[in-house]
Amino acid sequence: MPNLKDIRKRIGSVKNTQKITRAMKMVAAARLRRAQDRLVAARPYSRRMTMVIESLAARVEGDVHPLLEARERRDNVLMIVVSSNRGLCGGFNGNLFRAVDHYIADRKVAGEKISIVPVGRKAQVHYGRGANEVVRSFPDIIGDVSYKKAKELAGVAIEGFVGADFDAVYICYNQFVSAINYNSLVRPLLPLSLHDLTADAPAKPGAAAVDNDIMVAGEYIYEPDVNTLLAKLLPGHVEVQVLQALFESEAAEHGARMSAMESATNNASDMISRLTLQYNRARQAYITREIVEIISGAESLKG
Amino acid sequence: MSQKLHLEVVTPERAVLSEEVDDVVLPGIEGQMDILPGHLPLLTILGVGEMIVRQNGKERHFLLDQGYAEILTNRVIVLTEHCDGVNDIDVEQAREGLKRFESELSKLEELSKTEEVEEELFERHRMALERERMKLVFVETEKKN
Repeated sequence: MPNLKDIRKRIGSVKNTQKITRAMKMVAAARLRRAQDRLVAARPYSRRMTMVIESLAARVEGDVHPLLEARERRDNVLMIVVSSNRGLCGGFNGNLFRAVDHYIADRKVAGEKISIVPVGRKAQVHYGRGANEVVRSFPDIIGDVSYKKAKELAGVAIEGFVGADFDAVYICYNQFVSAINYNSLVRPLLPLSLHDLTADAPAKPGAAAVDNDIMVAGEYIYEPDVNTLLAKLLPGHVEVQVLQALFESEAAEHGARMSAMESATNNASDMISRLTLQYNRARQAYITREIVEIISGAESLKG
Repeated sequence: MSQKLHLEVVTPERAVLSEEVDDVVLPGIEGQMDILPGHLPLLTILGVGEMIVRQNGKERHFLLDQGYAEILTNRVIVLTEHCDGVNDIDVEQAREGLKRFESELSKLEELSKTEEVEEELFERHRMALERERMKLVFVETEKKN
């Protein structure tokens, strides 16, 4: 049986850990709220953009833009992997890497060469020692997501694709579902498929109302012309997709950390109550033993 | 003139404006254009330039950095990379940027005499230079008013 002092020390240290996990949970919750706000604020832009590109795409014929060109042979594939910079967020990175590795293994069987752009320190470490080529890493995007950085990241994908270094680009990230839930996704980014655009369009009540507006309004005037407009908008669309992924991943990270820290705090509580029970038992046993000793001492004096 | 335009300005990071206005001047790619209520549906690319919002006789100015505008009879939706009011612009930074791009552009020109330089690279630098210059011009004219 451990002595009383040991147990007391244990309880103290678990309490300290609990303080830390609780604080981390609070911080993650506050950050989650901010990340969620930003995610929501970014939605109108991407939604409108998608709608406009859709309506433009309906008016152009054939593959008019290099970003839309689907190649028959896919030898080189680029994967952008959006992870986090810090750990202590449950299976956030592990789940993503598992999904990506699984995917990569599949592609390799098909004879494709995989290159990787890791975003966030965890992905950098994970893929830095792997057999895949790391093109360029972006450790400083996480925690400070901005359109400028999304643009830079999208630029790597666009340049690589247009320059025929890569035949397809995927973006892998954790999609935010709710504070306690996320999906690890591997999504095709390039070539853009106009068909996907139509399928992706979120069926929101607001969007329907705007569609009606367009219907009532009839044909647009385009300035300059449809093809130029599309050429200008498509790279922007890729950038927005990337930005959206970064925002999603950021919100999912804080959500994952929040729930991981929540359960760590709960576990600490359980542990404390178990240890306290043990402590009380040990103390009681000690007292009982003392009493027995005293009584038996008194008995022997009497006799 | 009871009719109003509903103006929405959205950047990738947030929704900047959403309000009823009398008219709005946009920096179209082929020159400035004034949008009044009842405009025909129009989709246009925007350049770098000034957006003027008029509301009850008051004018507000913003600097837009590219994007596009969608105009439906009584709605204007502006999607732009940046929309800055006069106080959002960092003058010092813009000056530095101007100097930097100027020197880089002259370096490029120097280089192009001896060897091939991609036209696209030139174009990108010219755009960046233009953007910084626009920022400064915008701030100066705003200060005067």
